[in-house]
Amino acid sequence: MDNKYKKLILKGGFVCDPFQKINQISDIVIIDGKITEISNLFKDDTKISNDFKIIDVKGMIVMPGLVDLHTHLRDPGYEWKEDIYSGSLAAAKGGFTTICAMPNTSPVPDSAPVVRDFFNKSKNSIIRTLPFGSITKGRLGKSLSPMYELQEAGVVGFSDDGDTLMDSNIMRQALLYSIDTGLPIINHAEDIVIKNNGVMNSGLVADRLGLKGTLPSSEYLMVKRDIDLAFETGGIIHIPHISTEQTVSYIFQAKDAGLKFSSEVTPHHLTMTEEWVYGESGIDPEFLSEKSYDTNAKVNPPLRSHNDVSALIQGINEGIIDTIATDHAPHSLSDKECSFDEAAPGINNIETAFSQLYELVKDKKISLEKLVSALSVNPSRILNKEPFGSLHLNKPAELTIFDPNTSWVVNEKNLLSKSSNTPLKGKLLNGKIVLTIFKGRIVYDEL
Amino acid sequence: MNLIDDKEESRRGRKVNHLLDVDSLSLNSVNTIINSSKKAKSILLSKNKTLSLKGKTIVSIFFENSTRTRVSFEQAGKILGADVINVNVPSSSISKGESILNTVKTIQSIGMDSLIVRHNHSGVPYFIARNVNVPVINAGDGMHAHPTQSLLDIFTIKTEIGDIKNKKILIIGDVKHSRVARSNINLLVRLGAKITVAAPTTLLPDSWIGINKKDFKIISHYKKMESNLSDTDLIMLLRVQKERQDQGSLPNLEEYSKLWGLTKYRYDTLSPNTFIMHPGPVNEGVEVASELLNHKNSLIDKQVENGVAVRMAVLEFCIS
Repeated sequence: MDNKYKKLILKGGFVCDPFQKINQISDIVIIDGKITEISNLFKDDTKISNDFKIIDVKGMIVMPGLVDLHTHLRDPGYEWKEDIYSGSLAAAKGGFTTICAMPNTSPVPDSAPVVRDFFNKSKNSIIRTLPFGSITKGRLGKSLSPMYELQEAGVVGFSDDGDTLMDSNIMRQALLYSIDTGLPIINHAEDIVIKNNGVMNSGLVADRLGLKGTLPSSEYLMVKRDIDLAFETGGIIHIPHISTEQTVSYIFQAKDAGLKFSSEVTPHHLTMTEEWVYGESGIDPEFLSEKSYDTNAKVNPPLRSHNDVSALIQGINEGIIDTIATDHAPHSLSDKECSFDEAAPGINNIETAFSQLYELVKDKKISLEKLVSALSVNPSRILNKEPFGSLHLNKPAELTIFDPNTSWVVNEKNLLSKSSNTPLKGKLLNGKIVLTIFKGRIVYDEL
Repeated sequence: MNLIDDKEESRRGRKVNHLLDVDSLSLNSVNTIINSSKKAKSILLSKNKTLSLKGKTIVSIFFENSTRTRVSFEQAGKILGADVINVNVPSSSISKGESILNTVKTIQSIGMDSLIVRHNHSGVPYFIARNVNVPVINAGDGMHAHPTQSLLDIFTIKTEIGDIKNKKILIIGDVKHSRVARSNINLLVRLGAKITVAAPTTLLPDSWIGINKKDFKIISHYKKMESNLSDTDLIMLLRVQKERQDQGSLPNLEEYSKLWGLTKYRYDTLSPNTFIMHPGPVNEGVEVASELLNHKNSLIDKQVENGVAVRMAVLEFCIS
């Protein structure tokens, strides 16, 4: 199917739109790319005029195009891992219609020309691709990037990505700037001094594998510092990829005390534990096999314990954590085919994210509405623009459809990303995104 | 002859007989290796050679410096009639930026029947085992495991002291960073030894701090260690790495030696039958007083000697 259908009906799907608080089985009429009706009118197909294309989506979930606040597109500088185009294909396959590119590229987007190049290249993107600028020049943590210049060039926020801004004074200045730009500051939430070159979660698994552990305090201390600085300055802060129980409970306290900030958690931290490093789908084996030391399960912050996973799920359920962001991090084989210590951190997950997360809905740990909110309305609000990915009437359709009744095996052949560094490689996933529409155009289609 | 018992093979579900750590060896296999080590030792003492691995090529690749382990493997292979190739890594292509994988695959294409690996990063032998089709023998990986050291320690205890069940063993030192301790604790616990681990808290693994392990006891204060010394059959010492000082885990080696070292004074208060082991190389005067190294109860030289016999048994176990 392509875009030749001027008139389209998505029939019988369960529509979940947190923007408009729709949660029911409905038919969606799309004419010339715009949604003209969401209703239950078409019980009888014969009453629909012949020029409509009808797609039966019974048993499937129709939701707004998903919004990702944390994507690595590796473009410019590392295009063998991913580029803006391949990243956009992967995102559309994952149900995303808006992605925000992290600035760990070469060159770093710390001046307007680099951002303009990004927008030029983004013309190839099949979805909405937005850039973050770097907080500091060259992401070196020494002096601020020209934030106004970057804002005028179109960045949607600032981050030094995986390099923590350790200098509290510069962080404070960045937060003061954010009051004027109105754009969020996203600082990698790991104190690198206490992290002390840790490569996985500190605990029994690390000690058994003889790998250096990263303590929960490395995250907690940095999150606490940043929230305190944001409170003191009144700056705008977004906390990336929360991974520990301690951080969830600190965020709860801070929000309870009326502090204003937002935060995110990744699909892998919500669904996987440190045991995945054993290489046996999260099972704690009686003895280590050659599957152990799975470098595809190496990520910053690291996969944590079962308790942490439960706390993060609770954080989403109770609205303590606002959003789910992928931290999609494509890496080539050679970045991962090495010792665990040397392996590049990061998981390629934008295509598998919704299938992974839907398991939590099936297990009744998270409601569908909460899940979709954390992937659409909430991140859209943090970007502070018009709603991205909504099902509003008379607007170009921007939606995605998930079929929970199908399954697929993850492998390098069916991933659209240029890389396939996921611990889910070879694993069966339940449920699949089957259709994505961006600005009225079908950008991913398996129906 | 298939030396792996059926249960073990079905558990492992693989055809290639690696030795990555002792945790995947069943106690039957451990016994098999210990028994063939006895035979190997008699061959060794008779100064004869065998031809059991004649025509086999064993490559040993050490990404980390080692004298005793490398020489021990080389000697073991040669006595069994195998051709042993030592790849000298610092002078090889690795230093030109070639990856571990490329190096190993190149060696595999040239031809080998087994690969002995040492690396300063934990898990490298596992990564290599995923990528080659010959048995990989771990000669020490980072902080993780040192299975042949553990097997030779078990063999030494069995032949010099006796049955391991219910033996009271005190392990003193940097267990946090010690691959020898990790492998030994795994195997000794399974063989029924009563283990106590003594180390300053900074040198304990993070997950052991403040908890009591169900399989063994942990002591983190030197005075408590002293009061436990007298009730010990064997003291296994661990090497203290000087770099721990730079990492802030130790104020200095003098303090370590004062609080945790096996001094002559401490040793003399013990039962006269307390044995001493150390995987080497020893920091004389730090972990143990120099004069105790040649004590009649010191098994340190025996460990080195047994190393060759046990590695002969391991090579036969993995390759034939």
